[in-house]
Amino acid sequence: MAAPEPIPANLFEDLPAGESLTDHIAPTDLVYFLCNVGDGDAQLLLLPEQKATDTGVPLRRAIVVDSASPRKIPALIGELLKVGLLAASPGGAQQPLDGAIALVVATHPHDDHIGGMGALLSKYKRAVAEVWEPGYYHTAPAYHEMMAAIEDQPGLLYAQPTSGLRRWIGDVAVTVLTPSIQLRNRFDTYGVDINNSSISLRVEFPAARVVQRDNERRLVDAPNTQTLILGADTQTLSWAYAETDFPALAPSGSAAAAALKVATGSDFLRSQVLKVSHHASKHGINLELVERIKPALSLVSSVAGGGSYKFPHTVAQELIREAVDPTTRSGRDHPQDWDLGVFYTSDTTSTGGKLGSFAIVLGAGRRTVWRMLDTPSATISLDRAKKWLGT
Amino acid sequence: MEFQQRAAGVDVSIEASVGERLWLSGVVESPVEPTAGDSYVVVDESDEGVLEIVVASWPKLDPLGRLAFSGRRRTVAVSEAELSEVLDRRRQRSGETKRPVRIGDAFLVRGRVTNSPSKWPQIVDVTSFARAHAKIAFHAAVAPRTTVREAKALKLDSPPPAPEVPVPEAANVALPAV
Repeated sequence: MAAPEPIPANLFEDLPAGESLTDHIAPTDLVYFLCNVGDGDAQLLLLPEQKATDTGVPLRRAIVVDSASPRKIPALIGELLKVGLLAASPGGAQQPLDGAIALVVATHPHDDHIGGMGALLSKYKRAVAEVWEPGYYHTAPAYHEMMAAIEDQPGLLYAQPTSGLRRWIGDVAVTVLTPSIQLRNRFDTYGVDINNSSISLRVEFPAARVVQRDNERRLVDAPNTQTLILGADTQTLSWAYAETDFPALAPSGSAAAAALKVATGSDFLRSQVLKVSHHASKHGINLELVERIKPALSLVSSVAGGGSYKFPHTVAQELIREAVDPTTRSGRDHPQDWDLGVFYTSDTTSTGGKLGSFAIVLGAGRRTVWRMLDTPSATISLDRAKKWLGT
Repeated sequence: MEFQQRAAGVDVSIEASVGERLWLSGVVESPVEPTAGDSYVVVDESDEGVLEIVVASWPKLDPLGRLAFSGRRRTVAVSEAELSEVLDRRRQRSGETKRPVRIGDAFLVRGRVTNSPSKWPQIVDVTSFARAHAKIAFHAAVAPRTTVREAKALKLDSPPPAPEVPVPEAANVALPAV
């Protein structure tokens, strides 16, 4: 285990007096929150505004991916409702509009991922439109609470997705990378590690590809899309299936390919933001995978102060560094993690301040990193944030 | 006309609440009669000889027969070797088959005051019951529950029909799990 080095405080900028993070989010932005819950996951994607079909009013919905504790995500949802960033129910400002939480994903039934899932589903009831979980039976109390909460909402859409499933939610495309159906078919033999049942996701924004002008429409390449890979606790075996399910396709520059407008190939796993799987455990990622993703931002959710498993593991940290900044041939040292875009929820500044949760604001071809200054047990306030000034 | 994503089934209007009956209490097949002070211990994670176990109060059954946990829940680290030794000794005494500890294993622990398994006065393996209840929790959540009469009409409890074409004996062997 190597605890992250404190980051120079002058690489951050406080919110200007009287401003809130809300003032720095445009209607077309997607905001990814990776919450500081210690060695666990709690994530929320605040989707760009979309006009409601019945009223025409632009509203935002959210996707929740894991809820390790009963408080963190509900408190964040409360903040978003309070400032009007999430569609509120007309009946009560503290309850989201029916369906405003478009999707809840319980990546796998470990307590540090679904410890607060039962409470979340019970609290928001009809505000949640759809729930995914991998279908791995677990005997833990949190699993029973989650399934009971699902049972109590018979209107809730339920699915067990496997790799390749794509779901478009407004202007965001969600693709399931893992688990492969080959793994899911083995869950009940106990032949698959529970971490490898994890649902990992690729989130692409914007998903729009057709520009409509009067009665004409045309396809655009959308070269400025932003993609995130949310790695859950997926480990090497499951990533191996993902790497074959989503091969890197070589581009073709041939005249025939151009004439036919065939797909010229790309690497579907290439992504700007990676939520590093399994808290940067040595089993969570491998070099080839991170080389393919080539993330500009690698975000690790871990206490980095020891814990039972001493996350993050030095092996994983080193391979992320080597994947995004190869040095084997030159023999030079890697720069600091923050210069490589590698950050931890347990980060501190050189003056001792805790940096805590992330809010990544993603717009057209731009990305802004905010830190929410919270501890694992504290709630997030949108009025307290520091902006990362690095590249 | 509006349909729910999953039919409401029976008794769905009953609000979940913790009943008074302890899980496995009075169950003839159960290896132990639980008491209110017992702990429900589940192996949640395993790595390099360290197990993360979730410790909760022994569950009660809610009005729908679901496991309902109340009180504080804690995740603690224990030595895999130590827990295995305790279980092996216990299994040897009672003539049970030895097996390695797996994620999802569940135990009733009585008199637990420390996180050291060798100091637990009594530990009883309830994994098979816990696995069965996890499956029930899943299936009850995602598909309608039926009444006894409906189950009978749907032949849910009946033995499967005989194959129309007899299966050759050599092929009638379950394949090993991968």
